[in-house]
Amino acid sequence: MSKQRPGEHHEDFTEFGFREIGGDSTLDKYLNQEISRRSPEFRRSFQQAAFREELGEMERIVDSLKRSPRTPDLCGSILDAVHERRPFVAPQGRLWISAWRVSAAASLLLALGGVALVQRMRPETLDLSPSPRPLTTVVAAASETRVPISGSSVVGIVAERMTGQASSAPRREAAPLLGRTLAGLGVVRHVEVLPADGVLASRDSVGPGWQLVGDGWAVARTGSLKQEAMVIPASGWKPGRIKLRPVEPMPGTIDPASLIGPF
Amino acid sequence: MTKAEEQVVMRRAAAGDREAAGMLVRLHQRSLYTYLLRMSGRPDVAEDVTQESFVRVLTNLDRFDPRFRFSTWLFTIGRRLYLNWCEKRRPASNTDAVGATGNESGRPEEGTARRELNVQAKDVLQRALMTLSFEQREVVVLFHQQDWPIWLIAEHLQMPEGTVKSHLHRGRRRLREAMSAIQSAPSETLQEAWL
Repeated sequence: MSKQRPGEHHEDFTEFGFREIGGDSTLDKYLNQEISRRSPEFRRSFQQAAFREELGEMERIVDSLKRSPRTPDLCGSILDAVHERRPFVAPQGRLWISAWRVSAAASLLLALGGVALVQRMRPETLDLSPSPRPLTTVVAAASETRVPISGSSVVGIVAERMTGQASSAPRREAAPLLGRTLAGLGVVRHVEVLPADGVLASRDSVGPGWQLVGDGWAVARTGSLKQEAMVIPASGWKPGRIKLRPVEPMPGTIDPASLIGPF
Repeated sequence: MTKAEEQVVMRRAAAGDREAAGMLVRLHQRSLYTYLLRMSGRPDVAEDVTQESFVRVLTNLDRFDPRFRFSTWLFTIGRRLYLNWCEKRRPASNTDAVGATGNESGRPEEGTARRELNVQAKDVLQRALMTLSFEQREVVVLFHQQDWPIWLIAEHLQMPEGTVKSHLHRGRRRLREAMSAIQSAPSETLQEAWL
């Protein structure tokens, strides 16, 4: 191991009040391995008898320092003490631990890969936002249980059909159509246009109870409630899902038939 | 053993491999023990502190910073444990003023301690080393016995390199003076002076 760091400069010892006579300083430098025996400084000092004597003495001391005293073998007692505090694991056990770790990591990777795949193929499956309640579900629930749905959200979906026709359809035309249709849905206090992550592939996937609005648009029907026009400005319209909530609580028990009436 | 090889062994030891832990112990026990022996002058202390240092290190291998060498870490722990021991025990042989220890009569108690001191008294070098200040002794031992470079000693002891060189210079000079004094003095007088 080199005892001198590359590019290191030699310190001036005068600040420590050292006896800066030539031999002493040169001897220190030599013993600190800052200069070699071949250096001119060492050769000059070596011509002095006092330097040689001091050097010989120091080298004997250094040699004796390097001679290690008898060292007991502490390995067994150390390992036993370590084992008491933190037991060693047998090779078989370490193999099991390694296998367990590898399988855990592989499972995690597989799970993440699966999530990524599902996210890519069926993004709506992993949508963690509050899922919209399709009107058909509301109707079905009401018809079965006839429970009040007061206050619940009626959620519709407007989706752009992912066809060439739909993408080329002018939105300026779609917006008034949508507004008129919404007017027929009843009083809404909140229309939320969500990103187009819930885009429907075709009208068929919308299911019964949906109304096509214009070319390439579908909207849920929510039944006939209080009429109020709701026009979405063309500039603010984006294809995607809209969430409709009634301004007033719906009357006590809803007859499903009232929700299915024709547009 | 290269640093990379050492890290492989350390990983195995951290995973609970007794063989790898044993390898680390066998590789470093001599250097740590001799360092502690030269620092304390007492084989029993060197043995205890060496054992405890290894136990601490081997049970905390997962905390090891791989930027450093195992030996540097081990010596840091060993030094701290030895300093703690000095604080708690104030050992009779570990003093810079040799004559300042012992009982009221100026001699330590009979028994194990005395026998150990007698054994140590035969070691002129050790006796001379004990006349150095703690810092001088440590720097001299690390540099000349352990072969550590000055920059590493400076880092390890958290002091400027100039200070390390200063301790080296003074330590060597004092060591030489002490050794010539010990060698030229009659043995009984030396025993008195040591005790």
